[in-house]
Amino acid sequence: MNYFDLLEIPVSYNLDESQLLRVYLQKQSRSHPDAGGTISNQDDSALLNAAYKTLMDPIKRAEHFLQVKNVNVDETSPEVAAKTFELQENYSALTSLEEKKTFQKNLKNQMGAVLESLSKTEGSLEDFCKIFNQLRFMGSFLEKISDDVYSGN
Amino acid sequence: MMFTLGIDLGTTMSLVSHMDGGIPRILEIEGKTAVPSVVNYSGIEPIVGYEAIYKADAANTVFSIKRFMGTSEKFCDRNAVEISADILAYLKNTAEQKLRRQIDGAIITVPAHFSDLQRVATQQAAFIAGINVLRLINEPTAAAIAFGLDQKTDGIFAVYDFGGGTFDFSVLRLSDGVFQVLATGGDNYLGGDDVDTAILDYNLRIHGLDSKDLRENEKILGKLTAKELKEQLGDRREIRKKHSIKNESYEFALSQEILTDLMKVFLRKTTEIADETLSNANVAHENLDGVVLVGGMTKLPLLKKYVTLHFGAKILDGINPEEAVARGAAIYAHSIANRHDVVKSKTNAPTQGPLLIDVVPLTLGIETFGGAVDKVIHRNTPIPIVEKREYTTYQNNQTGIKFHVLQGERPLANECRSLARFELSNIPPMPAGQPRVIVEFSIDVNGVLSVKAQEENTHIMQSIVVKPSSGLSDQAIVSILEKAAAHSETDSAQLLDISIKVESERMLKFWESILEKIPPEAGKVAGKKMSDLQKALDDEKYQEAISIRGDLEKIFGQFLEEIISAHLSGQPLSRLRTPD
Repeated sequence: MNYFDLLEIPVSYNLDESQLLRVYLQKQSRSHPDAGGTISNQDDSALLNAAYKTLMDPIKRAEHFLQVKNVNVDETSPEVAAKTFELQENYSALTSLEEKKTFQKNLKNQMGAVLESLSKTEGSLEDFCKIFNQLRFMGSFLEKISDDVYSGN
Repeated sequence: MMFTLGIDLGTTMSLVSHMDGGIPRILEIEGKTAVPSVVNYSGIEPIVGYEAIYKADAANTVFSIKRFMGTSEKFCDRNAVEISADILAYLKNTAEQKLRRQIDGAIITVPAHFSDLQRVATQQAAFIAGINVLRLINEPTAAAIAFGLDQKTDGIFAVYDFGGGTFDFSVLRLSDGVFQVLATGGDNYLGGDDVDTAILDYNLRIHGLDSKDLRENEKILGKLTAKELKEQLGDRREIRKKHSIKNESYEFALSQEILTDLMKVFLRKTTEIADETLSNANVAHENLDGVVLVGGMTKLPLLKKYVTLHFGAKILDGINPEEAVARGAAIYAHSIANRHDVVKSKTNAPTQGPLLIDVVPLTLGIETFGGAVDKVIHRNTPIPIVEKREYTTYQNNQTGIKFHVLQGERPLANECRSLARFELSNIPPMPAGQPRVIVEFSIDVNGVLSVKAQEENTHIMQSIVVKPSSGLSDQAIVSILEKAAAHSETDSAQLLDISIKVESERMLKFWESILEKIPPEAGKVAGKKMSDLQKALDDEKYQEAISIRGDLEKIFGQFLEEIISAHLSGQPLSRLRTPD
């Protein structure tokens, strides 16, 4: 499934988020079960939600973009493995919730910077792939931290 | 067009709303806009509402049953689904009698943070009550609909919903009539009820008493007094109320200072949840265009001040915070019915009314080897949604895979809520890792999950709808419905008349028992109208009966709370006055 095509927007990592939102809402206004769609419409609506969710998230969008471009992502570059190890070491040394939250914030900021560079490398899929790999591990690491510091139930 | 209702099935109070000339109206029941969610089981038929409290019969009376939805706990020999069904049936039947028409469908609201099991339990209760549920929608979202249409402005809003039993916080974007929920958070065990308990405990302490020494009945009465203190304090510095326990009279008091102190911990918890939810939605305080206040607790001046200070955003409180949820539900039910009509008529008429895209409140996942959770659908994902995961066997010739479906944010299975367990069996013997089992999670617009597992090579399939194991089995539901059907051989108009007669006679009996407790001048009018009502019923003039009953409900409604609280605490009734 090509989510860019589904939402009729250009296949590009650098998409216009407000356009994406507009198209998504327009299409949901026709497909959503509450919009007169029936339960069988539910599948169309679910697909639109999956597309929107994927394309609004920079990391998932990058992954989907590469998938659409038929690029196989090399998962185990030694560079990334070393960086993962380093992050894990630093994080496991932390004890207080405050420290962990600060770590989380810093990692988020770092990710922001890497995302910035990702948006400039769409021209070279090879570079794009490299940065994406770095991002992906940061993302999954961030998720793990979120689990750790999540205060709810 | 379908005739629809919005039902706010609350922890402490329930409300019903319907559209009347494009405007959501709250249906008055017993002369009140809200009915206590209290059921008494002393007789053959359950008694719901004020009369149930008046019975002062703690052993056969159930309060705050919503807190037990999705559990298997039993009260008066019934579980939460059955008891909620009795409340819903009362609301639906009363609405049908008063509006003198069949209800074709309804939206029932649930706390945004309700788990899958609690949602399914609510659906089952509605099913037993004979209600065609168009949708379950989340309470804060319903409130936003009630507000959003009035404002007609696009923007990002938050809903701060502090009700009797639950706290919800949702962040929504409104654009072109579409409400898009961005994130939601909350606590199902944080509500005004807890504040009442804190006020009671404080006053007991002052008098050297301990709530542990109180009987259940006495605790309920104490909480009612605490609630009155909280609601009547307003902007005053302090108020006092007499309260008797074990025939001993005490003076209960509440001041702004004490209330501030007692509520501190609850308020802090709400803003912590709010800030976390805002951060999940990537919305900063300064980007909020408004904060909608919903739920009885937000009527407290103290709370309003605290919330205003915290968010610094425009506070929207133009609609009665206790009624907004029911109103929003009525608007949306009408909107769905309308859109369906337009689609069915195959015309290109523009559809009217808001569209709502809500989210999954809690993460759903599968337990993996070693007790970790593989998160399949993350919280705040828009619904409906379908997500797939692929699993395989870890031993050679393994013929079955067991799945454990979980809900919650924690990384370990034993820290999450268990929703269901099922097994895909009869997998042909293959080397480990060869079978490809695709597990599909599908969440519908009501936020209810179903799970399907299929082995790709052999197409062996197993699918389940996650149901509360604690709820009712399909068979139990069928038998309840069969019993109901046995009663309903007669046609529906006749049935409506019968229910008007039965219900009106019950109310007459109740009113007779409290007639001498209302002021004499009102009593005179009421007495006359009561005999009129009896006559109308005897003459089978049901339209007239309903209208007289409405008048009587209004008369008695204004004294109900006072009569009940006086009756329960055994105080003399001479102080009753006609309210202004």
